[in-house]
Order: sequence, then structure tokens, then C-alpha cells
Amino acid sequence: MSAAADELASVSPELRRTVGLIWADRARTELGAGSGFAQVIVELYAIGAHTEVLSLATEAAHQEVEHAESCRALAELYLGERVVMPTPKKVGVPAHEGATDALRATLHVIGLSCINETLAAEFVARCLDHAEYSAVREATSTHLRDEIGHARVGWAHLASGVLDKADRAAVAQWLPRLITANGEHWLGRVRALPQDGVPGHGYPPVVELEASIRKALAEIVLPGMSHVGIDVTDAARAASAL
Amino acid sequence: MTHNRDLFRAIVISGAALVGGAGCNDDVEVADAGHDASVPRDMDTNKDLKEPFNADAFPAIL
Repeated sequence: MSAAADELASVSPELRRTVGLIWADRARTELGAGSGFAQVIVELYAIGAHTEVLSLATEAAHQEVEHAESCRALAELYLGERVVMPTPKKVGVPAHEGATDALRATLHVIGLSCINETLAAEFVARCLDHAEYSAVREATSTHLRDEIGHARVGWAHLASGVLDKADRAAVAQWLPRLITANGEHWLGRVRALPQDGVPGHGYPPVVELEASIRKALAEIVLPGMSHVGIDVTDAARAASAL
Repeated sequence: MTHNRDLFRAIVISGAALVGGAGCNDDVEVADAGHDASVPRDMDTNKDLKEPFNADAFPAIL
């Protein structure tokens, strides 16, 4: 028996199954993130994005596959049985009808990276607060480091000089919709987790995660948009309504 | 514990700085009350909300 498995030996089968299934689902969503980045990378090339942004995004796509594998391995550890990698799929991306191709590309970067990956970093940071088992701590620490890099893709893009004044005004108009959609989606995701969390195994109580998602929008995403020159007056109202 | 001010600097400030950060507003104030671990734990939750399709959102992915 490995040291990691030995550490879990005293954990009840029910709890191990609960946590194992969560990690199995995380493997699926990590692979989905890789698919999202793969599509965004193509769009970033099409609009002539900064080379640093291209590099960061490409690295993110690669790391998402690694995250999927580490989540699969944790699922296998907890479940005590073989777990196969989820089938890779092309995830859907928002149509953003009415936007130009260039604006749509930037909106995709904002949705996937500035909002989704920033919230992911917050989520993983809170999970790390509740992780005691060594295998979970090791994987979660790596994930947190990487999610921060994935979120930087979008902020670097917005700060790279690709947006003029009119572009920033257009982004400000779309931003409330993106905040609402991504915020609701993340709240839905955390509400599907065990209500009381799984202490020690990396999952805080749901109400704690809900609060952290709202705080991350208010304390990271919205100030971030202000930092890169996007007006957040309407977006702040959308965030407050979540 | 990682505070949001730390995440803001690690993600937004550092991300923007990677491309020079020209035109960024460095005066943005980040109000970080820290993470409140004392939230009530007896609130209801909606476990039926799994993965509603939403054309405006990427899947909530990590």
C-alpha cells in the first residue's frame, strides 16, 4: 500500500466514495478547461495577441490536461479502484451574438480567464485551507499555482494594448452579462458539493464557498477590470445581485 | 490562508505587468476583509443545480 493510500486507510468507505466521485468530476472539468483554452488560443492568434499572452495560454492548455490526470489519480486513490480519464470533448463557447469577431475573442478570454480562472484560483485557495491529507495538499497546491497563471492570461491580454477606448466601452457593456453568467455557474457548481464540506479532504462548507465566490468577484475581478481601464459601474450591480 | 489582496496582486497586477501594463490604473484600491470563515453552516443549498446549460458562460471549469 502506498503512503498516500495508507494515510486514507482509516477514512470511512462512504466518505472516500463521496470525495472520490468529486475528484472524478474535477478531472472532467479540468479537461473541459483545456478544451476552452485550446479554442481561445486559436482566437488569440487570429487577433494578433501579444506573444506573452499566447505563451501563457498555451501553457495553460497543457497544464489543464495535467490537472485532469492528477484529479483522476486522486479519484482512483479515494475510490480504491481504477478510474479512466474522461473522454476529451470540445466544450461550447458563448456565441456573443452581435459582437465583432475581435470583440468576441476578447470576451471569450475575459469569460474563461479573467472571470472563470480567477474564481477557480479563489476556489482552490479555499480548498487548500481545508486540505490536510498529503496527496490532496500536494495536488491542490499545484493547482493553485497553475490557476493563478491561467487567470493571468486574460489580465495580460487586457493590459497588452490590444483594446482602444471604444473596445473598452464595448467590453464594459458586455461585462455585466459575463459576471452574471459565470458567477451563477460557479455558485451552481459549489452548491452541488456536500453541504457541510469534507473537512480535511479539501472541500469547505458550501456557504463558505458561496461567500468566497462573491468576495472574489468584488475584491479581485471588479478591481482588476478597473485596473485595466474597464468601467465596472454596471458590472458591480450584476455582481451584487448574485 | 491566501487573502484576496494577495490573489489580486498575484493574478491581476502580475498578469498585467507581464506585458508592460501600459495604461493600467495603479490607484485601484482593493478592499480585502480577508476570508470570513465564520459564515453560518446551516443554510439551505440547492443540490439540484448541477450543470445548467448557459450559452453565456463557459462551463464552470477549473
